Amino acid sequence: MLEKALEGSRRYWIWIGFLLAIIGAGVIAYLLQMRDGLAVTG
Amino acid sequence: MDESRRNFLKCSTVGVAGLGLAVPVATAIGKALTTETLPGHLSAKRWALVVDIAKCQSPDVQHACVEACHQIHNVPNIEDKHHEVKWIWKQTYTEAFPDQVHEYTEDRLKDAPVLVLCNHCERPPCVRVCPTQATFKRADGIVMMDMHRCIGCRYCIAACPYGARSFNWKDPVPHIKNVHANFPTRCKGVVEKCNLCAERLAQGLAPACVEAANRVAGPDAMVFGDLGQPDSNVARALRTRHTIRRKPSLGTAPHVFYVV
Amino acid sequence: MHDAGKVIIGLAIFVLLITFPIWFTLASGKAGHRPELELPKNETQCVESKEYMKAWHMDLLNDWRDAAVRDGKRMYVAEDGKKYVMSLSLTCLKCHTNKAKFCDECHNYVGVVPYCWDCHVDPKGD
Repeated sequence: MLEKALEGSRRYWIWIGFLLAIIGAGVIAYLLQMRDGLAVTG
Repeated sequence: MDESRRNFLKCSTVGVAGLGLAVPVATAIGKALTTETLPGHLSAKRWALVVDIAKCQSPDVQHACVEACHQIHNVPNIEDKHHEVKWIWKQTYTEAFPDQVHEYTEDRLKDAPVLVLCNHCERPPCVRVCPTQATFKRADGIVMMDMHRCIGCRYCIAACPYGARSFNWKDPVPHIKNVHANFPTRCKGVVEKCNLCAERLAQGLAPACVEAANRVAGPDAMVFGDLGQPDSNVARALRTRHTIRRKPSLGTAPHVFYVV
Repeated sequence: MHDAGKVIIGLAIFVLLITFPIWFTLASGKAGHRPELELPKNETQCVESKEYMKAWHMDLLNDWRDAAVRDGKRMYVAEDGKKYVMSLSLTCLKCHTNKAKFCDECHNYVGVVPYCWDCHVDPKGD
């Protein structure tokens, strides 16, 4: 199952990288708001 | 303290066996402790405040009032207007009394800075909307907050027509210059506002802003007292001088009055 | 059963992980640790009996909180008739001067995190 996700074209990996970057940004924003409270978003 | 709690306390000293039995009883009974007010505390049927706009107009007076209040209540000083926390502050007459001004309002008033604070309304909308009863009105008219119960929903901020409430968008403690140990700070995520110095009244002292105003601007710049007593200084001030309330048409019946 | 080796290694790792709290405590040498409270030096009597305070100080403090904030009653009359101002920072901490060696000692041990100190000020600074 999982091994199918681990192989793909260059385009595939760029796309995965892009999605991971978005997820990462979300995680960082979540942690920031955990720490600083609603001041982050207002 | 009622009898059951007294008995429980006695039981508890007997031993652990006593504890085990008496405990559920005592906790089920709930509030049963003997308490008193502090000696010399000030009480009233209905607290009210009269602010003399002319006497409280100078920057010195206003600064003294705001500083006195914010210092003793650990109100943070946050530059960013979006995160600002305030208990007492100044607004122009036009902003504070939008339904009193018109095109030809006299110059001396139009842009005059006025000290504003929580109005301790007779019918406070903030109390009505609070889902946890964190904001409540005391029998003596003080609209107060129990910070332990505030869940930070901010309904009260939406409900208050005077902008008297501030939300702690972030941890306020780093923004307090000198933390005053006698009064708790707040944490992020709660709303706060003026408590009419309930903690000072409990010790027999007048509110800090009243004390500061009368010290800097001379007597009667602010008059504070019990409206429930016809011969009190506030009752007399209201009888003899022309006073206005903020946004009277909303029917909240503010108990901070302004001498124009 | 040609994967027996892998399964056993997997199980061993699993057991190691779920017993983490046990062996970690043993390894750190804190296994026999018990909270040691620093008691006030100048005072032997708390507002109520020691047994009561030990078991019920949290309820007492909740009652104090409600009485002071909700009812404006700020003086507590103890079982023995003595009167105390109901204040965490000024009354409790007047005798229990070191919050870290009194409150936190037990609270950390049993892993409770009361939110008192989010707002109430330790006069000696956090």
